[in-house]
Amino acid sequence: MTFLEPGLLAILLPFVALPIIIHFINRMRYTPMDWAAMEFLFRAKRSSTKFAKLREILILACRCLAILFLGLALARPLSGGWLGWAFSGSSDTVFIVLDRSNSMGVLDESGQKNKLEKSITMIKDSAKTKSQATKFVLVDSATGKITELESLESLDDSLLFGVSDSSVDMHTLLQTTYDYINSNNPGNCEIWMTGDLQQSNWKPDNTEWGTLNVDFKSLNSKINFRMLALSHRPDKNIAIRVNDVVRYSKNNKDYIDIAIRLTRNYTGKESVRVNLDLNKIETVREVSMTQEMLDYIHTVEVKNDDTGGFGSVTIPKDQNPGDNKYFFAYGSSMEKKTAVLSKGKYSKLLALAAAPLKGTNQSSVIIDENQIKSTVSDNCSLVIVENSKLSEQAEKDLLSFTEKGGQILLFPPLAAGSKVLNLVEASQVEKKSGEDDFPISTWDEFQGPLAKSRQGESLPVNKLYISARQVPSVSGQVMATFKDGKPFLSKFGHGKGAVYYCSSGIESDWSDLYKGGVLLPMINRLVSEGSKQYSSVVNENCRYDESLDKIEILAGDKAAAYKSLSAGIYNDADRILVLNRPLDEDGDSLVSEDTLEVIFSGLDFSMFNETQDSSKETMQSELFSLFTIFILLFLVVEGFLTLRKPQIELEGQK
Amino acid sequence: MKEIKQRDFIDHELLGRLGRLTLEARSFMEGGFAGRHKSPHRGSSVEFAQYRKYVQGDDIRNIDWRIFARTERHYVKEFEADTNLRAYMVFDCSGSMRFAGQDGSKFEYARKLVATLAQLLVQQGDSVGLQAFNDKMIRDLPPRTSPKHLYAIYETLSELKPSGKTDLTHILHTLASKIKRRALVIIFSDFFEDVDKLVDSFSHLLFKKHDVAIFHILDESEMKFEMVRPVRFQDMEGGESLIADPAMIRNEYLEQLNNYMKALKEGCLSHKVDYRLAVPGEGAEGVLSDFLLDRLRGHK
Repeated sequence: MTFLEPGLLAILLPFVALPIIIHFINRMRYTPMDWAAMEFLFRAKRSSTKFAKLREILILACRCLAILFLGLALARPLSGGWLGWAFSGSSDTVFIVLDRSNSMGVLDESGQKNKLEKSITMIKDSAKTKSQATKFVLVDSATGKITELESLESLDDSLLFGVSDSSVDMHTLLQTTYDYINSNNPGNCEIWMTGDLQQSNWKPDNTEWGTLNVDFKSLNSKINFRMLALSHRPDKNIAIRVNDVVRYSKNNKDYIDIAIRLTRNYTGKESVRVNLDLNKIETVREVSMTQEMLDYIHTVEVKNDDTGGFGSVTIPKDQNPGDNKYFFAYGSSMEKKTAVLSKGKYSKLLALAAAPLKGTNQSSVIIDENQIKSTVSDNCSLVIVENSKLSEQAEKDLLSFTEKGGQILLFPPLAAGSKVLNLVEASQVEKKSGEDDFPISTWDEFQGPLAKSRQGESLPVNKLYISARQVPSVSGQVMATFKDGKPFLSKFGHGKGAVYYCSSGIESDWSDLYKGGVLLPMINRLVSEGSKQYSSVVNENCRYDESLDKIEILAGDKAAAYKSLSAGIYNDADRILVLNRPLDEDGDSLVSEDTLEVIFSGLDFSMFNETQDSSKETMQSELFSLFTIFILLFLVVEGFLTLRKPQIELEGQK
Repeated sequence: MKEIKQRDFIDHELLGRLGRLTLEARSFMEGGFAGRHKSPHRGSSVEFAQYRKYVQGDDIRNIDWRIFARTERHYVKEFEADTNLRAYMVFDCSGSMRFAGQDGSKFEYARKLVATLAQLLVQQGDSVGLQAFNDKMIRDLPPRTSPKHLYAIYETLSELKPSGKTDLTHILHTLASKIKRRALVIIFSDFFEDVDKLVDSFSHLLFKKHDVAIFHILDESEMKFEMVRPVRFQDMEGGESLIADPAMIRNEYLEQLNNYMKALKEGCLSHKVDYRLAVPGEGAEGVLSDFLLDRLRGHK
């Protein structure tokens, strides 16, 4: 148990002896009195001595304890809250793993302090009780840097940097901490972690946790893990982000579609004022929300010769100001070409799906293996491979294409057991007949080729009729799964691009993909994705990159200490760099204490969950209340002991 | 010129109020004169007592001739003898009687009771004596009937000062041996002695056919023991002192006192000793009128 005011405790402690002193003074200040019935007094004294002394001792003990607990309570005991247990015991080094991710910008109810500021205040207050020999080391989540603090006041520098627009990877931070401990041998350590317990920060499925756990156990130093969780979520929060910015031509006019998504943690009809700033021209639109999420497209016509621009969407400030703004940019108009490598009867259908409308900037071409190299080097965004056996050279050309950011959509049939593009190895073909099929149960609706439409409508993926399939032996990133858990659409990342493998073919004896309800949007999205390699606009999540510190800022926080950690538009040589908060930071999923117990199993781990918007006082309130209860208890016992017994009725008075 | 002494123990108003009451003996008395109390001997009063066979030496004037005419046997007619009462006021003047509560000392209170009863007895023609004692007899005035003697009692009462230890049982045994004829022995004391010994001494008096009444003088503060702060209790009879916190030993003290009073009262009741608890705070009139009235009604 520690105290925030140990000096006060030292002053008050001598007062504990006060009742005893008063008792003895009282004993000495007796009143002399002549008494007749002395014999009864002597007898009474003799018979009462045992119990009277015991009672007297108990009364004195109660009085002393009441004063002691009063002193303890006034000295602000810390055992009940985070500060108490976090700072109990002595340690040579305290590592402060400080979460500065975007979601730590959530303000408290008063709107005065965000979670980061509060966590720093709590740490500073508590650290007062540590010995002066204790060394504090800051592990900054935003930069990943590990810094020895000269004093705790240096923590204020973190406040100066403030909340970043980046995410946090707790595993990486703890790995950094482990590496530091392993190489510096800082003695007995405490690792204090602060954060809002976002699932995405912890990624409990990461198999590396187990290794790290074993590593920590193998250290010679005694290590205590303390988690200060500020997991309370804002009561009402709306977040805005731009899902996509697409420039296209239609009827020889150029447009950009800005796909805006509003998400909130509550329901009910509400009008949200969205401010769109495009090339410094502001447009305000009131959008009506009824559900938790709203997707809509803001279309703006731009000149054909417009080489690009940028802007942002903003909603009114709420409890989490970090998700009220999102930056975007668009580049010059360019052709989006798709190559269809198919010998099947549906090659034309695929080509049509890739460029369904005339007068747009999308085009498609059916090629053979020999044309791959020349086609992909000519602004090609997507290559669809269907019903074709690829030669070694073809595979080499296609992989080179994906390395640069190109997208490949691969359909079966493939030769079972052999690797295609050195990534996809298909198993045997499975078929079903009649009404029986392979139903699709789940798919990623938030990102990737099967995501919801810009209007927020789901693709009818679950309505596909799949009568034959050839699932990959080793699945990549699964984008959709059959009911039996096998992948329907898998993504195999390669370089800047990716290979998507659809487990069912488009021919009618495989599926009804040829009908286009799913195929068309899927191909179009892959075209858009593949075209980004040629765009002058690069969208990235904020993450620490020292090399970006000197780039020119076009929009955003010009005073940001680290540009790579601050959302905005940057001019990076020949490209426009758009930095925003990662999608993970908008997530509401929290990692549970049980999960953390598993991650830290076998290690000395404890968590203080500061779920309420509380001040320092409430952090200690548990123990303060307990002490107050003790004071009352002792006073009640003292009162009970000093209570006069019912007076005996004398014989003569009856 | 004769000094006029202050005698605040004589309450004339109280005497006026109690004057209509008489003090009755509960048993035969053997006085020196004719009086209002029954004597164990046959006398010449108008109240018939019994017939008895004539024996030689009897006065033939007492033979009832009508009985002789009917039975031809000689019977002597006997009448009750009325005599006066001889009261011994046994007054405890030990140091413990000096104890004073809010309503004055036990000694003053007891002195008032003694003086009042003495006056009443003399008024009804009885003899009153005063035996003041502590561990020995201090003053011993034998019973007399005359107002002059009453004056002497008053003189003595006004001169008495409470001091020294008590030895009541010894005094009572001495008195029992000393008083030859049946008398009323009224004891005024706080009776802070061993109850068994006290009852023994009462028995001795009763064995000698005396009518025994006791006035148990206790102050209210002695019975309530309500002091708050620690007290250094100094024995009023010169014994050792004791420092104690009354709050801590109150119940034990009261329990001891209660046991003692219960034993004393039971001892008195079983031996037909007239017991009266007399508390200074409750005044003299109540306890005296109860005492007199109970005796008039023949209550034991």
